[in-house]
Amino acid sequence: MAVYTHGAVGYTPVAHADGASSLANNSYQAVRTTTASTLRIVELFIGGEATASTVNRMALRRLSTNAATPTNQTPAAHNPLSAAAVSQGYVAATTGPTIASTQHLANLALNAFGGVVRWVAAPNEEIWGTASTAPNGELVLDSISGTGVVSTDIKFEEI
Amino acid sequence: MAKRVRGGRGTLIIDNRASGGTYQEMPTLTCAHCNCIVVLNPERKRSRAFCQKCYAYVCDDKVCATVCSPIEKCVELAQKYPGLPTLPRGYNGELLFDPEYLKEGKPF
Repeated sequence: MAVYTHGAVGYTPVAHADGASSLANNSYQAVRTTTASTLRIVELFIGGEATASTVNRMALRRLSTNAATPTNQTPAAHNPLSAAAVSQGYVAATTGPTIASTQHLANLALNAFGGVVRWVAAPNEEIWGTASTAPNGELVLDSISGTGVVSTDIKFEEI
Repeated sequence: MAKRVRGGRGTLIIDNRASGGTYQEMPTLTCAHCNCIVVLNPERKRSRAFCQKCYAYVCDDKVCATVCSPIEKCVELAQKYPGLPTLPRGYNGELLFDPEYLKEGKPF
């Protein structure tokens, strides 16, 4: 399967509780499937870039309402021979997404003052998203608490 | 034919050394039912929940440990019924859709 990476660089996350709606642009990183695509997240990376000690509690969550007219950013293929990704990443939209009030898929805490978090899935242990429609089609990586500047990467496999 | 147990170890690395913290590298599992990441505690003595139908490890949520809702089946249902909340789970791991859907396509 082809593997792709979408990155969001140097953004200031906003602390979003579950159910937070209309997320502000550049305060989160999201990946979205289409009706014709399914993705499996194989790796998450968070690198802290804050200039002072500050704890960020980041989470990977599903959405109850997808973003309206997201500004698609084409994920980079790891292999130059791979077809362009059908799924897309985004960090901005006309109306930001709404986070679902459901179980978090991952909670990842770090000191954003140079801290690094990297999660790599074992084969067949990936996190799924499919079929575009909320709450199954999109996933968001953002902060639950803490607003230290971070850069984040979501690496996924497209099925 | 013997099936291979699902539950190869993922890895979670948290490196806070730049801010005077520690470096931690921990094995993880992904629940075969709710799809959440479980960081494995090496000090744990209790056995982990295991689904005999999926032949895979699941998390400690009560529903995940008692109702077989394989994530692959849920993905299939999400494609068939867009909008049916098959992938997310409630805070206690509870299904957010009618479990009758899980019986679809079963040979017996």
